[in-house]
Amino acid sequence: MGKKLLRDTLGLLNELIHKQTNIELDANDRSVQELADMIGSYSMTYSRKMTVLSCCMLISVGIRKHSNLMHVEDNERLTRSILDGDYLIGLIYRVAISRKEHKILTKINPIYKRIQLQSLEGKAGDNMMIELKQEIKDYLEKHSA
Amino acid sequence: MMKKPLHEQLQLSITEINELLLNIIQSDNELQQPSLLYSSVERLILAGGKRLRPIMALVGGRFGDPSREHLAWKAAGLLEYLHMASLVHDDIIDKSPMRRGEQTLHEATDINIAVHTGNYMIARALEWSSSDDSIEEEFFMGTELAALITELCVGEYDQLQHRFDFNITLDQYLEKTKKKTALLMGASMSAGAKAAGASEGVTKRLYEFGEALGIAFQIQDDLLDITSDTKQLGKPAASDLRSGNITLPYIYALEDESIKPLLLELHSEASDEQFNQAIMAVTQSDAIERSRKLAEKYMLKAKGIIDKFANHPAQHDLEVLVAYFLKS
Repeated sequence: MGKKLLRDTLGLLNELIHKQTNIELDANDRSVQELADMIGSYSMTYSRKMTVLSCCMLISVGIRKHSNLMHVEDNERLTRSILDGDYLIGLIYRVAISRKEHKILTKINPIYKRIQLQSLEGKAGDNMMIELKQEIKDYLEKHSA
Repeated sequence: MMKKPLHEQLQLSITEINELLLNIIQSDNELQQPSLLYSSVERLILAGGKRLRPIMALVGGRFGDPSREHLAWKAAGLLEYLHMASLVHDDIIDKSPMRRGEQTLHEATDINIAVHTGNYMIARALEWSSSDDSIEEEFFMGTELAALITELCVGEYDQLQHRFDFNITLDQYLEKTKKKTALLMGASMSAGAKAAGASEGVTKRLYEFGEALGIAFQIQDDLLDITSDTKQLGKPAASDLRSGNITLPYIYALEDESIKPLLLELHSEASDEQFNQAIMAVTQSDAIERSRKLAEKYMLKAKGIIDKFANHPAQHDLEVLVAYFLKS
């Protein structure tokens, strides 16, 4: 169930991402696979599960794009990393609104802010996926059938 | 006699707007004060700026229910934070050392700090905009505005892909300009109106008004970049062309067979002399006047929209905005 959900969500996102960005997502991240398994186990429509997983995948990749930019010497690569991160985070809001799941943003946005605070304090975001999983679990408990 | 500043003509207080912007970070319980992040955001706010987006949101709000004015203020704060955050990231991308005569954030700190500060500002403004009791509606408004980030980015990708592309057409330039600048100005007018409960028709017309002003504003900004000197701009003159951003004056100048070869030989490694020669030729050509004319055409479009608000108490405020942009 989780694997199919992950594959379908990936297809949805790669379809939604503007072609001009040249961003292509993949599903190699183990923690995202775990999230897909967890989301898949809840009782809600398949379409909603795809939306929730989409938001999780976008925040995960979006944050990664903005990590360790100090060491990127090539300006073109730096520019792309900044733009890609901005675009993917913006897409979370777009996806959540267009697919009528905007309440999930009350969970995603605070995590995103905290990660920025931690990054500015020089703390690596190792716990990010654990925290995200916990918040999404809480959301699913409240908003699934 | 010197004309009053825009905010005064619209009976708005810049101090009040700045206080609102400062309040967004001061009310964040998770933010350490003092800290580098706090002082960085404070510095961005105190560096000033025209505050066009919040002003436009507040004017838009005057087309709604006065009892909902506080919601237009929420939109105003959020929009300025989105704008400031995008400038922080743009400055890194454009390698700009200065903005408004001061060091840019990434120059004063470093790239990591600047990127995360921009990100924090968006997340915090969104959180702040929904921190009252009526969370649902305000949060929805905020997220709709945050979703615009994708379009702003597409405008940037567009610019990136067309670096030193002298085949860029007028339509492509206008499309990029809509996404990069006009979209947020249109959204400022409509978000203020929508937040204050204006009808869908009014909101849509105000979006079109703001978008037309935004295009005119960007064309004027492109003109300033080429016609002003470093001291006036607070950044290197003609930095658009030097970074490969082919703006409207250059698109028009490419139609002049005597200037075209000077422009076509430019690339990222071209010498200062090559750039200076091309810039001089463009400033002396009719490309400047033609660009001004196109900006005026969009001003006229905005004026045409004002007529549709005949007899509305806030109609005059739209006229004030157009007059301000015309003089800019």
